[in-house]
Amino acid sequence: MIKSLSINNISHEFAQNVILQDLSLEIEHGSIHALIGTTGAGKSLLLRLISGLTDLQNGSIETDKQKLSFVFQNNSFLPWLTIEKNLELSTKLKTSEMIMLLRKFNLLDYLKMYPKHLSGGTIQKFNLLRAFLNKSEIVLLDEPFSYLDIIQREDLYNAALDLWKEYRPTILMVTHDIDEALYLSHKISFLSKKEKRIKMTLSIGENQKSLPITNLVEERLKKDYLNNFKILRDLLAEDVR
Amino acid sequence: MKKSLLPLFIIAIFWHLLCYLTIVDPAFFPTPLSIFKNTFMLLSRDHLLIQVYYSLKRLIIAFGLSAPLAIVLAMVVAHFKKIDDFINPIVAFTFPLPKVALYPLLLLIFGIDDLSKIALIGVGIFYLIFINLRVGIKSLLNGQANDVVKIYKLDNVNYLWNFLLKGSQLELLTGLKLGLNYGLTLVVVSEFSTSNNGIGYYIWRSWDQFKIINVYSGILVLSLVGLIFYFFFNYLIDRAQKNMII
Repeated sequence: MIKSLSINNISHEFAQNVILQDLSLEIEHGSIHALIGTTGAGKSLLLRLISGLTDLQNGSIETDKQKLSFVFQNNSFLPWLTIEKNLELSTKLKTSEMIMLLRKFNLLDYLKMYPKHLSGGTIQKFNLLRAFLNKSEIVLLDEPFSYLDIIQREDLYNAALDLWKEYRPTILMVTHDIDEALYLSHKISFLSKKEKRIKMTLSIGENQKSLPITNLVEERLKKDYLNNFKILRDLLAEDVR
Repeated sequence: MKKSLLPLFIIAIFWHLLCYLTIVDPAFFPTPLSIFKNTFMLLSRDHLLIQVYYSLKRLIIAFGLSAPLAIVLAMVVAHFKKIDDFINPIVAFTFPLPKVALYPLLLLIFGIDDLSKIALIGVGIFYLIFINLRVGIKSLLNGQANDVVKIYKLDNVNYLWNFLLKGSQLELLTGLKLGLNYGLTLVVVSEFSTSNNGIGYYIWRSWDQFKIINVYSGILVLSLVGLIFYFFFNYLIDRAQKNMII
């Protein structure tokens, strides 16, 4: 297994409140890895530690921070600049490639607009696009789909998978939504709030996945879907008890 | 705009009535209409316009020297905590001091000519721009926008212009607006005491020569200048706010 991200024995606390303890996790190169856990388990903190936005207290993380991008839950475009200007600040791509992708995702019309004039779904599409366009080797997703309705999600899941197929970065995504984790990822790690580390990693297996997703209903009818759902659901339930 | 003029109009009519009924002495309180007429006459014939020019010149020079310095320093201290720890106590301790009190000292240092006036005006302007912008940049650096900027590694020009300055443009514009307004106050004060031109000098001299109506005209012209700045900056602030709100 080629690893593009190794997290070794990290511990983290805020004002003597231990959030993560002796956590280790390895992410396979080019895979989509989901991190699931209850609210407050430290999922987002882990992404911040990996990206260097929060300083590491203990342990080590092996990755190339220069080739990393981060998709935030919201407010990830500077509100005082147009979308086009926002993209220009961060992407190093030739414009022709960008325009091709923008056309593919029906985003060309929004370039001159300000972020606040766009719907949540559209802005998150831009957000994803920016992360992938940056030629990143690692893309961290911090619940970027959580404010969207189901149809917008379906659309965005497919956009994310499309982009992943095109550029093949390693994706680590944080979510508290079991369905989302099952639809999108090859592996799912469960971060326990009680134990403050990864309790279990579930392999979904490439053969079950037909990426991109055609439709969320059919996805649920697949073999092992319910089984995996139950495993994760019970883990979550036990963790908050 | 039309609505906000109505109360002024009512006060003017009331004032006019007081004069007409000789409840107040028109020698001390000339009617609004006569003040307008007089002002118009002074602006076209007398040298009132040149006084406005002298005052504005002082204000603009002081503003032009002070604002860039305040902006650069605010950006520096917002970034480097050690420099902030050194500069901020100095600013905090000296800010409450009414800057006018420094004028005698500035006269001593810079002499009786324009330089001391420009220094006084500039010092007053500096504080308002510096303090507002520093707060703006600090909150910007504590917000999520800073995370985004860190992840996508902006180059220096974009970082300074498109992130720091544009991101704190509301606070900057507020600082500039307040600074210019306070600067105008200091222009008048400095011209009251040691000057032979400028609108402050004109008001004071008119009072000395007991041309009360000219005092009123000076005040009117001064408030018009202030109003122009006020509306100009409010326009810029409104425009910025339109896109800033998330």
